[in-house]
This record gives sequence, C-alpha cells and structure tokens, in this order.
Amino acid sequence: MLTETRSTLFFTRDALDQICRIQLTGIPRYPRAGDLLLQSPDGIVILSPPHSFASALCTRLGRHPQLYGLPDVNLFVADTVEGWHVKLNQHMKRPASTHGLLRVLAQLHEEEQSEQSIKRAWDWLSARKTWSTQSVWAYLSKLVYPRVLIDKSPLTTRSEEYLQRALEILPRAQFIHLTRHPMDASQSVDELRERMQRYTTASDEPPSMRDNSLLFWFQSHSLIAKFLASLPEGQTLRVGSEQFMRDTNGYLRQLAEWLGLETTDMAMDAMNHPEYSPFACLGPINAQYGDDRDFLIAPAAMPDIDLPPEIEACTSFQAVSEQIQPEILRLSHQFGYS
Amino acid sequence: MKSEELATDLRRPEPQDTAAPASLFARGSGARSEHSPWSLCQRGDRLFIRIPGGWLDTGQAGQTAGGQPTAATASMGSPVLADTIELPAGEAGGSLHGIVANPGKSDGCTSNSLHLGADGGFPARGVDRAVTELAGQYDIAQLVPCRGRIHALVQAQGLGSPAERRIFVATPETQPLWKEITGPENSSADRRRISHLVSFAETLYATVDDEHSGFELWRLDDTESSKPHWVPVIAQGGQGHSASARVTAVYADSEQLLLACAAGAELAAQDTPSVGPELIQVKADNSWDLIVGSSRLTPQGLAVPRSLMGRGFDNSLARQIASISRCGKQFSIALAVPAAAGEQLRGEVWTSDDLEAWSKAPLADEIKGLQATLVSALYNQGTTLLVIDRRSGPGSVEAQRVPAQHEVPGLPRDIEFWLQGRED
Repeated sequence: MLTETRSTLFFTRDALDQICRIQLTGIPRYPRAGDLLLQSPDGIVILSPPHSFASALCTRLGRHPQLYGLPDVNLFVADTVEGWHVKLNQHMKRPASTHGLLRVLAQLHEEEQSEQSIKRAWDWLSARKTWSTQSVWAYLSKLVYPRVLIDKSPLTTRSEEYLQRALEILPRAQFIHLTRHPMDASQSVDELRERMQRYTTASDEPPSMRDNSLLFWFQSHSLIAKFLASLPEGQTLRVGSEQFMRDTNGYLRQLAEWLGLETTDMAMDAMNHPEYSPFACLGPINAQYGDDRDFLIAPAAMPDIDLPPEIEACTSFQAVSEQIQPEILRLSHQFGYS
Repeated sequence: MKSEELATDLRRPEPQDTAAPASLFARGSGARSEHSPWSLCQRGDRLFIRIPGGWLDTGQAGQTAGGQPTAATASMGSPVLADTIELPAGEAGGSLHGIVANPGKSDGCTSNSLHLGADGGFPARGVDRAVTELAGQYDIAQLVPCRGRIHALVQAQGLGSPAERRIFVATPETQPLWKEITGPENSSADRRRISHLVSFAETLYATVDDEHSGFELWRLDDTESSKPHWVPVIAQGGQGHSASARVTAVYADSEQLLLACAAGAELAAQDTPSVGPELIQVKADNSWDLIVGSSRLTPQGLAVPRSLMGRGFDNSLARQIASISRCGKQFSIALAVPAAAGEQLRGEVWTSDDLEAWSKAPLADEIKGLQATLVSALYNQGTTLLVIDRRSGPGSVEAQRVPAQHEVPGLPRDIEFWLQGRED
C-alpha cells in the first residue's frame, strides 16, 4: 500500500530526468542543481561521522516550517524493520540507537513522548516487522506532509551499504556532507570514548575508531565523498561545521536557499530555536536518547570554535602509517582544513 | 551538408558527439613553449593564433579564406617570443610590442637578456639592470598593459623557491624602465605562486595558486598616493579549496573577468572524484559568480553554478580548462580531458553567448581520431579553430595520418592548429 501511495506521490528517477529535460529551456542534459530544486526532494540527509555538530545543524534546519527534523532513526542500516532491530540490538549492541525512531513514532502518533506512548510505538513497530525501512520512511513522510523529513543518523556513514540504501530509499534526497576539522573531530571522539567504555566493546565498531580516531575520521569522510561523487551536482552540498558555527544565521539562510525553502523572517527565526524541537531533550526512561547526550542536555548551546592545531603536529596523525598520512592531508585540504 | 545546415547544427544546444558536421580545410604546426600558450583571438574580423614568433592570421571570422593561414612573425634575430601585447593607440604611442627572452636558455646558456621590441612610439631598449642582475636565468611569463604601464610577470630561476615569480612594472617615462613591485602571495611557501596577471576594469589583478588552500585573486590598489598594495578579492578558491587550487586560464573584457581553476597536483595525481575544473566570473564591483562548478556555501552567499553544470562541464574525467576565448558574443572553452594510452582526443569545446546556456561544439572525425591534447579553441559562426598538442598524446607523433596542408616552415610539428568550419 505504502509503495502504491509512494508511486502516486513521487516520480521515478527516469521520469524525473524526463521532466527536468523538458522544463529547463529545452536543453537535453542530465538534471543539475536547479533542476532538482524544481522538484521537492523526498528527504534531506545529513552525512557525517559522529561529533561533527550534525545535531546542531539538523535540529535547526528541522525547525524550518517546511521541514521536520528527525532524531537518529538509523533506518538505513537494514532493509526491514526486523533487520533494523536485529542490527541495532544484536549486532551493534546499541539499543539506544532505536530510541530515535521510537520517539518519532510516539510524537507523531500521540503528540507526546511518555513511557506509555513509547511502549505503544514499540508495539506498533513489532506488528510491522516485515515492513521495509523504505515503507517506514514513507509512512513518516506521510505523517508530516507537506513537511519534508531531514535525517542525520550517524550510523548511515558506517558503510557503503548503508549509504546506497539511503539512496535507494530516497533517490531524490538532497545530501548535505557535514565536515569538521580532523583534529577537533578526533579529539572529541577520543573524549567520548574515554567516557563511554562500551564504545570499545561494540561488536561492529570500526577498528579505526577504537585504534585511531583520526583514521576513523578519514575513512568515514572518504566513504561519504566517494558516495556523493556518484550523484548529480545539484543533489549534494558540503558544509564545514566551523563555518556554520561562526555564522549560523548566514549559513542557515544559504542552506534554505539551496534546499529551495522559504527564507522569510518567520522561517529564519524558527531555525534559531532548536530547543523547541520535541526531540531536543532527554526522552522518557524507556527511550531517553536518539541523539548525542550533550546536545540533548543543552540543545541551543553553540561551542566556541578555536583555531585547531596543525594536523601534522598531532600525535594521532603521527600514529597513522606514513602511507595514509598524505591521504589524510589531501582530504583535509579538500575540505578546507589546512 | 549545406552551409546553413552545418551552421544550424553547430548551434544546437547539445549536438550529438557522433556527428561529423565540420569540414577540415586547414592545418598547421609549430613548437610549444611554456610561455606560448597558443591562445586564439580575434582582431577586427580576423582570427589569429599566437605562435612562437608572432601571430598567425587564419582568416576571416565566419569564413576561412580558403584555409590559407599566413604567418605574421615578429622576430629579433632568432629569439623566443615570451609574450606580445598590443597597446591602445595613443596610450603609449605604440601598436605592437614584444619582450623577447634570449633563446640561450634552451642551449643551457645562463646569460639571458630581455629586450623590448617595438614598432611604434614606445621606446625599444634593453631592460634595466635591476632585472638582468636578478639571476642568471629568468623567463617572462606574461606581459600585461594596464593604464599606460606594462606589467611583467617574471619567473626567476635559482632564487629562493624554484618557482618564485616576481612582478615588474614599466612606464615609458620612468628611469629605470623596470621597477619591481611586491607580489600578493604573502608567503614563500613552495606550494604558492603567482600564476597570472590580468588587466580588468583598468585595474591589475593577480592570481595566486595554492595547492592546499585554493587559488586567490588579488587586485592592485595603486590609485592613491600611498604605496601600492594588493587587496584580496577571492580566497580559498572561492571555497572550492584544494579542488580549485590552480588558475589555468583567464579572460577579461570590459564586462567581466573569467577564471578557470583546477585541482592542484596533489589532488590531480589521485583518482579522486569531483575535482574537475570550474569557471568563475568576476564583475567590476569584485563580486563573483560561479558559472560551472560545485554548489557551495560561501561568506558572500550561496554559490550555485549559473550553467547548472557541475565541475568539468559534468564530465568527471575533465581535469583542466585549457583556454577561454571569445569571438564576437561567443565564448569558447577548451576542456582538456586526459586520454589514456592509445585513446583518441578526448578534449571538448564548449560554447556559449551568455555564460548560462552552453553547448558542446562538434569536432570533425579527423580531429577526434588524433592522439593529442586540446590546448585552445575558438568558435564563431560555424568556424572552430583548434590548437592541439601532439606531444602529450601517447606514442609518437603521427602527423602523417593527416596530410599537411598549411604548415609553418621551420617549426617543430608537435603543436598543430586545425581549422574546421563552413566551406563558403
């Protein structure tokens, strides 16, 4: 059913190509930035490894009247709801990673997040184990329509499989690649790892994340960059989190323009209040998280951006093999980190 | 094919690559040096190719005069012509000047010298000692006239960084003739160097290549009585960062300055996606606009390519815009696409008259069959003028594959120019 509904709402990729070719001055060519803006996207996906300030960006954008900001629903890790559950609970041993979707379902079904509504969300999901994750996304899209969902689940960047699944589910999604200086990002991951010992025991945790957080930064962003390079120009945008933090209003406006959204004062003002998001706080005891804990405690806080140290001088860089070091520097320069 | 049909075909937004609508009726060859970019230009109603030693008149725009290019060389003994410039009538009294570097460099001689060649009122004389004592070896990369002065971009070998480039300015009245002005690069790091000087809106601009941070555009503020100083216009490759590290071609007219930028060697050496070249338009108020390239957020606002085309004109294999030319209203872009060993010419020629709607000009099958790299292109009214480099193609030069019709005598045959168009 959902698929049928979906097919009536959305164009196939081939159909979109045809439409774009006709709409744009009759010039036959592949759809590009402006072409895609002519069509509303079927979702917006922020791609970044953990600790890249994706929560701050996603929640702010999600307050825009035309968007709906999601917590970490992690839908792209599996094809079905059952697979999603098994992957997060058994393989990754990350039960907290299911909290985001439970909170969204509770909020959209009952307009509240309580122990009872979360339990009913569980029941709802359990009754739909055979649903595809694509159907769940379509279901959520229908509930928030005409708003468009925006997702930033960090697990999506763990593997090419997850990224490809995101594209299969959302062929017309607009992807935002969020970067952070490698030294700051790896230091932040190191600090978190010290606080949360379970990071070192998670079964599918990338070895690079345990051994060297800088290598994890490199592998994650390489994966994202390679994936996005296969997409049409207008479907992707890279954003430096430092730029965003330094001029939040200016860059939110530009992002809204790129996404084809309204930039009225009301819309811009709404994005300045991430704390009003129903997911920008700790949830009930049976689904507390769905996002970075620090963000949930202080969602409106904006960290000071200091000049990061030189990459070459850092011990984590020196610990990486000499073959990889130039690759890390190359990617850093490509992102504007010298 | 009738000429009208051919002209129509060439103006189609996206002609089929398989079509071979153009007739080939002129070919020539010559040598390529680092400072002879084989640029193409229009003077009046005629098309010219700049070659080592002067200009090659290829005929009238829109026609080809039967494909009879004639060489118009300006020489001083047997020099290498580093650059030639044309001064507006009345500004300095001259009509054509050239600075010539002694060809001794190619013989290993280190006693290069500079000369100013003139056929008008601008005095022809040797360069000031301040330059000649700079080093034993140097090259003139560019000469740029701007507000009655000539600016020279000089590459001094053996001084500090091997790629160090310095800027000198000359006016007819001053003594000594050449005076050095501080460059805008702000750093002696090996990865940075001044790549181009260009005059736009009566202001001298300089581009600085930076392998790590991206190219920079500076303008020289010398309008006040204070010491001339450089003002930044674009930094960090317009936020394209290292994927926009080098400026490979520039074009300026009264309305705009066009910059073509490409990834630096660091990125280009990798099999990295999304590092094709970009095209940027700078306006007289120093605002800039992305014509071809990646959408991005910038401190100045959202940059979305006006052409709606991504890096490399949507060709992921393209690595460099080799030239930007204009003939009448028609802009021409020569896009260099590296060919693998044994492959045919993969360069593309893109044309536009408004910088928004671009179309790919068809190349004759005879040209597409060559193993070579596209160096420069100019398109107008059904005529396409191409310069290709046979050296950079794999294998040996295969000039015999195409009958030589109009060769410039005495010049090596690794560079070739081709003229295709209507047979009027």
